[in-house]
Amino acid sequence: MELKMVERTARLCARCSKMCRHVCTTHAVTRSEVDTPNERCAIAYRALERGEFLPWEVPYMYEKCATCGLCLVWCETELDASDVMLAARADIVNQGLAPRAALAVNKSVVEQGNPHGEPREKRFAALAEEIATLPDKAEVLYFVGCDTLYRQPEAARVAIKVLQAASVDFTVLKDGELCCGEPQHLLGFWDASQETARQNVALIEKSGAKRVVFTCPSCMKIMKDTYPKWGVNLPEGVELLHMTQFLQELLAEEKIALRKEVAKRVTYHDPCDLGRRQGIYDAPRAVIQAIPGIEFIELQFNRENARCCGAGGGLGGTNLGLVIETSKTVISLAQDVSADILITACPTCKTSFQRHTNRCDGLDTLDIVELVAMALGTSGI
Amino acid sequence: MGETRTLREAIIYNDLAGIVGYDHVSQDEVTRQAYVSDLSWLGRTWPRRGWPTTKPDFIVWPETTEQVSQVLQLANVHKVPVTPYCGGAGVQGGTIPLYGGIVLDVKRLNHVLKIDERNLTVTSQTGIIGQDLEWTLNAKGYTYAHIPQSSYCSGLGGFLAARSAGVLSTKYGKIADMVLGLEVVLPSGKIIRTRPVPRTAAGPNLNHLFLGSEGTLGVITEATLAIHPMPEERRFRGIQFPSLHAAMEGARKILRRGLRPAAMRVSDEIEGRVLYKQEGSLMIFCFDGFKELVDLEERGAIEIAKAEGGADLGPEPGERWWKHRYTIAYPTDKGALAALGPDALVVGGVIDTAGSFDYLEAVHEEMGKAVNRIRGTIFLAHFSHWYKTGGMMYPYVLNTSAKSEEEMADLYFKLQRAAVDAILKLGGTINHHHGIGLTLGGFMKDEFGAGFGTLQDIKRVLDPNNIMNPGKLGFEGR
Repeated sequence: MELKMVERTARLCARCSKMCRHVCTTHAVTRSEVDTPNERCAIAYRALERGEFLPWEVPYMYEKCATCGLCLVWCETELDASDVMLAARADIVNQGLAPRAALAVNKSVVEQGNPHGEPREKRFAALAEEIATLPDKAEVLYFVGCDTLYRQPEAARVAIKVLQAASVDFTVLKDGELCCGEPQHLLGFWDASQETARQNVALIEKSGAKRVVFTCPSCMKIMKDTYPKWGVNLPEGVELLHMTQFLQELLAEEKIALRKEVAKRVTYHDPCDLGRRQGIYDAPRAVIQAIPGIEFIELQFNRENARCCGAGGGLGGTNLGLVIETSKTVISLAQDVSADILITACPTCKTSFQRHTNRCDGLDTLDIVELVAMALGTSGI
Repeated sequence: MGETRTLREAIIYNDLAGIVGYDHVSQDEVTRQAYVSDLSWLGRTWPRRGWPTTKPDFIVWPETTEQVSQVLQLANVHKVPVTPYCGGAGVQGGTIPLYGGIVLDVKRLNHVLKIDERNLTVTSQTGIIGQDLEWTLNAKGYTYAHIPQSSYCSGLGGFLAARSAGVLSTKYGKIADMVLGLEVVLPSGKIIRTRPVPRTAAGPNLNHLFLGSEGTLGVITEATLAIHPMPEERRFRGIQFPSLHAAMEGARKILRRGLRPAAMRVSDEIEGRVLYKQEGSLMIFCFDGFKELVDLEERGAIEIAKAEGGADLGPEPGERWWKHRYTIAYPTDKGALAALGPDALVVGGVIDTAGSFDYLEAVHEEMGKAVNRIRGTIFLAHFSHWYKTGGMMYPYVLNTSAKSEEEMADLYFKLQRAAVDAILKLGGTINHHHGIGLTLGGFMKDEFGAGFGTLQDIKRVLDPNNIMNPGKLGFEGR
C-alpha cells in the first residue's frame, strides 16, 4: 500500500490530542470529530493495519480533506496529514473503490485534457482573439491551466494583455495545453497523473521556453514538487514562476508602470498552494502595494495561517457543498476588515469566493492580475 | 442488504433528523467510532488496543439551544442516554458514551454572541473551541485568559462542565471564577438562564450547580464570562531553589505578600531534572499587566525567592516553558517513552489535587511513597495553580511494569487508588481541574461524605429518567 510510505505520519497523527482541530478547514464547517486530521489518519492507519479500505471509509478520505496544509503549520511534530490522505486515495484507487466523482474527474482529464468535463476544443475558445497572434515559440511560456481557462477566462485574458503591455516575449500552448495532472494526483490516480506529467513535460520542452509562468499555483506546485518526485523532469534550466513573482520582476525592471489610481480598500487571501505549499507570500503583497491609491489591509488570518478557500484537495469535484460552506470563512474575514475587494492569486480560490461575492453587496473578488490590469490603465485592459 | 437497525433505532434516528436535519445526525459506523473515547488513559487505551468499546448509537449536532432542548425531550421519550460532547479532550473519561445512546456534540453552537467592551464580558455559545474564542477576543484587543494546555482541542462547554483551569489561573481564576451567567438546558428539555451579573445574594448561585456537572445535570449552551484587555507586558522568570520545600515556601510568601503572578509553576526535584535538567526545584513565574505593575510584582517576587535561597535564572526558563507549553500534547517518536515502542505497555495518568500549603507538601510525599510502592512507577509533579490559601499539585504517574495487556487496566486502577487514598487521608480534594468523569466516580462518596446523597437527590429530581451522562460523577449507571 502507498500508505506504508507515510506510516509514521499516520500512526503519530492518529495518536494526537487533535491539536490542529481548531484550524482544520473541513472541521470548521462540519464540527464532527471524524472530520479532523487526527481521526482521518486513524481511519487510514486502521486500513493500513487491515491491508485494505472498507467501502464506508472511502468518503472520509475523499470528501473531507482540502489538503490545505494548515494542520501542518500547527503541528509541533511536523506531520502533514495531507500526505496520508493522498496515499490513502491512491490505495483506494488501486483497490478499485474510487468514488464516482473522482473517476469522472480522471476520465475527463484523460479524454478532454481538463478535470471539468469540458470539451478539449473549447479550451482557449474564450481567448481566440488574444492568442491568435502569439508565436509558436517564445522565451516565456504562460501555462494558463484548466481552472483559469474554464472558470476564470477573464483572468487569463487580462494576464495576456499585461504580458503584452510589458512587451514580454511569451506564448501559450494554445489547444495543445493539457491539465497539469494535479487533480489526478489529488484524487489518487497516480499512474494517470504521471502520464499527464510526461505529456506536459514534452509540450513544454517542445515550446522551447526557458521560463514558465502560472496564474494557477496548483499547476506550478505539481510541476515543481511532484513531477521531480516521479522522475518526470522538465528540461534543465527551465524556471517556474508564479504570475505574482513575474509581475514583481516586471515592476522592478520597470517594464510595467502602475499609474492608474485604484482607490479601494483591498485585502489579500494567500492561496494554500502558493503560500503554505510554496512559501510565496511577499510577491503578491509587493505587487498590490505598488498600486497607487490602494489601501491594503491584512486578513486576521494571513500568510501561513491563511484559511483555505475550501476547494483544495479535489473537494471541488467530490464535495462541492462543503466547499461552498467552507469558503464563507474567508468571505467573512474579508468583511470583518471592511474590504472592498478580496484579492487572491489562484483561479480556484477566486471561483470559490465568487459564488458568495456575486451575491453580496460591497465585496468583490479579483485575481491579482486583474487588479494589476486595472492599475495599468492600458487601452483594452 | 436490508435494514440493519432495529425499529426503535430507525425511529429515534428519524426523530433526531426531524429536529436537526439529516445532515446533522449520524449513525455512520466510522463517525460512531470517532466518538468512543476521550484523552484519558482509559479512553485512549481501549480502542487503541482493540479492546471492546461501546460506540454511541447516534451522533447529533444541534445548532440552537432549542434543538438541544428537543433532543433531550426525545431522549426522555425513548429513555435513551445522552452524552454531551464538546472537544472530547477530557482526561477522566467524562465523554465516553458508556451506555451508547446519543452523543450530543455541541460544537455547532459556536457563535460568539456579544463582546461587551465597556463592561468587559463576552457571551458565547459553548461549542466554540478555546483558541477560537481567544482569537475572536484578541482581534478586538481582549483576552479571556483561560489558556489550558488543551486550548487548541477543547471547547468552552468542556471547560465549564469540568471546572477547568488554564495556565494563567493564579491571576485570572479558573473558568468557574470567570462565569457571570449561564444558559442551561435541563434534562427535561427546559431551558433556564442565570443572570449575568458580577455577584448576587439572591439565594444559592445556580451557576455552581452546573459548573462541574459534566453533563449529568443538563447541557450548558451559553455562557457570559469576564474578559480583560490584552496585557501590555507579559514577563517570565526562572528561579532555582535548593529544594522543593524552599520553592513551596517561596510560593506561599509571594502569594501572602499579595503579589499576583499570572502563572507560577514549581517543579519537584524529579520533574526539574527530567524536563529542565535542573537540580533542586525550579520555579517559573510570569507577571503580566501594565509595565509599572509588572516591574513591581516581578521585583517583589524575586526578592522573596532569593530570601528562600532561590537563584535567579533570568527570563529564559520561563520563556522556554511558555513557548513549549503545548508540546507535551503532541505525539512524538522521540524520548525515553517513545523508545519503548508504539505498543509498549505503559500505564499512567494525571491525578491532580488541591489543598492548603501544609497539605501540598505532605501529599507530595505521601502520594509519591504510595505509588512508588508499586514496582516500576515513576512519580513526578509540579504545582501550578495557586491561591492565598493553598494550591494545586499536578502529579504524573507512569508505570511500565505490566508484563501483558491483561495486567494494564488493573495496574492503572491500583496506582490511582494508591494516589487517591493519600489525597483522602490528608484531606485534599480528589480533583482540582480535570473533573471526575469515569475514572474518579468511585471516590465521590469519600469526597462528599453525606453530601453526596444531596447531590444524588438533585440528580434524581432533575433527571428522573437518568438520561444525562449516566455512570459519570459517581452517579448511577443504566
